[in-house]
Amino acid sequence: MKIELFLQVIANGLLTGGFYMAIAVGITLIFGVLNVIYFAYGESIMLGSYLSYFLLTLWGVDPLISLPLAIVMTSLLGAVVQKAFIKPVMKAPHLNQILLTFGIAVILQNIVLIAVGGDYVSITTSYSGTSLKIGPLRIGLVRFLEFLLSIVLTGGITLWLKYTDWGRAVRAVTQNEESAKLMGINVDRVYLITFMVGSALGGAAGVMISLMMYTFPLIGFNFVVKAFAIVILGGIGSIPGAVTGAMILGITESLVSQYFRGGSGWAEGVSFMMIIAVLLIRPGGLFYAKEG
Amino acid sequence: MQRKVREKEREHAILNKAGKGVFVAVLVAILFTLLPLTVDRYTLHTLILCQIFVVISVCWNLLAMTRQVSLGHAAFFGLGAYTSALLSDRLSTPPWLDIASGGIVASFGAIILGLICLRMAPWALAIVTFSFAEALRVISSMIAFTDGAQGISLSPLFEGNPNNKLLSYYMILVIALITVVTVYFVIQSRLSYAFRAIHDDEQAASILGVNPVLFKLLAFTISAFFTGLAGGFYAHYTTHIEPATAFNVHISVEAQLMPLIGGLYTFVGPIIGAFVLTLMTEYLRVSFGQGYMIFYGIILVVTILFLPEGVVGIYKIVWSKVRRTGLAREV
Amino acid sequence: MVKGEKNGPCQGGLIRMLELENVTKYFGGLCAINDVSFSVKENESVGLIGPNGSGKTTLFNLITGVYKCSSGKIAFQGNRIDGTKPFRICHMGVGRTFQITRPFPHMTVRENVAIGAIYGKTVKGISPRLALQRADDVLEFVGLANRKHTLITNLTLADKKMVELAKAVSTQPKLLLLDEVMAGLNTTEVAELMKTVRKIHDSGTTVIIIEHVMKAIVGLASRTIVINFGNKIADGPTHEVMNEKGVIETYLGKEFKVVRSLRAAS
Repeated sequence: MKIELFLQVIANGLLTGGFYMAIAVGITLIFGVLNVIYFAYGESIMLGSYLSYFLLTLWGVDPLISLPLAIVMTSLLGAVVQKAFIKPVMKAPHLNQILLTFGIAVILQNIVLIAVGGDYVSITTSYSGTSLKIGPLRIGLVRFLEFLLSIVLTGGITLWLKYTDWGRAVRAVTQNEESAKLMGINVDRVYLITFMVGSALGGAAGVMISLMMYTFPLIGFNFVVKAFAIVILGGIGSIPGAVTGAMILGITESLVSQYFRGGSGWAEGVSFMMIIAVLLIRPGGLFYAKEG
Repeated sequence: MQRKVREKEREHAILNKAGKGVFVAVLVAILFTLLPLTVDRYTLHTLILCQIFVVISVCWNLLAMTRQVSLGHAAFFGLGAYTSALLSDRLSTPPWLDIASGGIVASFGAIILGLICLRMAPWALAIVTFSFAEALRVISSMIAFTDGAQGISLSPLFEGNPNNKLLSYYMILVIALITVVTVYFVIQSRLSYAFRAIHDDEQAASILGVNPVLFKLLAFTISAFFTGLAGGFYAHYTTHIEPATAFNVHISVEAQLMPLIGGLYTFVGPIIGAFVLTLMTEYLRVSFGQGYMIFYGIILVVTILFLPEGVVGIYKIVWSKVRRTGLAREV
Repeated sequence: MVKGEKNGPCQGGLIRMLELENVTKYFGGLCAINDVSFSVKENESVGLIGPNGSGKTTLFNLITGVYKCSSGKIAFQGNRIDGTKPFRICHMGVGRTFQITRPFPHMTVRENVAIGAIYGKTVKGISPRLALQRADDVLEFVGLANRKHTLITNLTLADKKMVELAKAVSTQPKLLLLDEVMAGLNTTEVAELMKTVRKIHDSGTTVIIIEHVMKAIVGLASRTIVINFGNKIADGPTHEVMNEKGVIETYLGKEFKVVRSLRAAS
């Protein structure tokens, strides 16, 4: 009995981790390639989530179908943000980037707040409650689908980086911007595209969130902390690191949730503790820190 | 011989200058003590909020002087508020005791965070303090110890007394005065040399004998302590706190904006900024409604983008202003 | 105290001001300092020369506690200082300047120098009033009294370097480490700075000088140590060391070869 519970907890953790993967890969791309700390990343998630909600409640569009639309819209938003605000601060000190994108986050949050109000919203679909039974474990269908989706997205990004021209360009720019320029790569465009892809991942994650829990304008900050925690743990600019970090976070949260008294509350503090733990163990800097 | 006479004259000139400053300060203090007697309850409430934010603003500014930027000052505010509320609710301690305890708990939080982030770039502390505030907000809304999202209620200050609001105002005025005077003495003392040196170049400062750990932690502790006091007072004043208000990101944002608007790294700047922004917030809340923070986001974005070197640019402009107003002492 | 005892802190009655014993420093896989040992007597003036990147500044960083030795010992006046924090080493009496000046940009010259005066000897520090007086004295000593209220960023390079020197001096060091303090200065400015350094040395301070300007080494240092690729390759009276073949090749080898081949080509 106990071992089954444990396995269930681990399974839940893996599912959550799978979902966190999407978030982590998005911010890893932005932090790793552009070397920018993008505090407003959570707002891509928030917007994706609201998009899914509105498409469902207004026009009955199933979230899984609004997913591509969310991806497109958040990537467009990313493009605007990158061109207008990120480009000027790419070479600025990280602190400036944080303050600027923090301001952007506040602006985006309040646009939504003004537009639709601050109530918590959530959606349910016909299949929201179904769960699969795999052996002794019960896996929520929605969460399982999202797990698969995250893997597809992560895998897709990895393949894109490895085998396509654009992907190679991105890797070249990450390694050495000057050399990439000399090789004729349009570095500005690479940064733009990477930022768009990163934001798009956030949007996709947002759609997934809308199915799993409620949404509200300030939800972005919650997720951006988790994203930072994962990236700090797994290594800036490292996708395998992001995946690992996401899994560790998911499983740890699940374990804490189950085995600590008042668990689900304390589970939210796990990401913070992770940040602290990593910073303590490597006080001189973070894994593969890109700073000189 | 002549040089000595000239130097003595100079000293006298400075004493006169200092004398002027003290005179103005006392005048202002008297103003803030007597003014509330003449106003209505709503204005009094606004003044109380102003004083609360004077404390927070001055404290954030002090911390920033050592190049430690906190994006989560709400954490210390909330720690103070919750400590105060919990003590009051569970142990029925008198208000002054639980407010003081709030300050102490907040300082502990700061010492721990400060120690962890000591050797890191300023942006790491920004992320850590932000995450700390967020974590506290979410955790306190979910665990039983803090009564979850519904929060904790306290009995009102000076219950039964017809002048309760006025007395509450004097309570926070005392806290604000102690804070401001403490920070004033810090800025006028050798500590400000250490802070500024650490801010500009920590390594160069340590080669000259400045112990960076000591002074960074000292700044952090002072900053968090008084912010915690403000939080503790706030809990009693509003008689009910919950995670959403005690650890609200608004507090962190405004903690930053007030010194920025009023004058970063100066003495009076944060105080002015606190009044300006609190009044602005009250006005916007009434006239604009829920999304008023959007203006603060815009101010932040505009400040970073259009001051030539971003935050560093603000530092430079401000320091040159400081130079002209002679805040740096000339003995 | 046995006369001629080699390995104790006292040698022939004079306490060793600074002693490096088998000091090694690795940065990852790169060996920056390889088994360097030497000692400096009180009130000596030692030059430290070597090509760029040979590890001279690294040695200074190791002595002042900015870096930790990978192995080996460093002792100041008989007390071990490797592993000690920089500010404590300063309190013990070691001062230094940086190769690229590091002024505190938002303060005046006087305030810059005052910091060392306030905190140079104790953690608690002395009162600003006293410190500013001391700063004035130091600025008088180095000849910058007339610029003391100028914002430090408005100074010429030569003056900035002098302030850097003044800052180190304000901590009242027994041992002063000067890192390329002449770099970027013209002949007049170099002569001026040399005068000041000589004054400091004459007042009893032990000095170690890193320089590429050979005139300064010859003029100021009675003894010279040569470092190349992190190894000590020479250590002795300056004029002897300067003429040693290995040293010349270390420094001028490439140039020699270039000149030779140019001559051959013409």
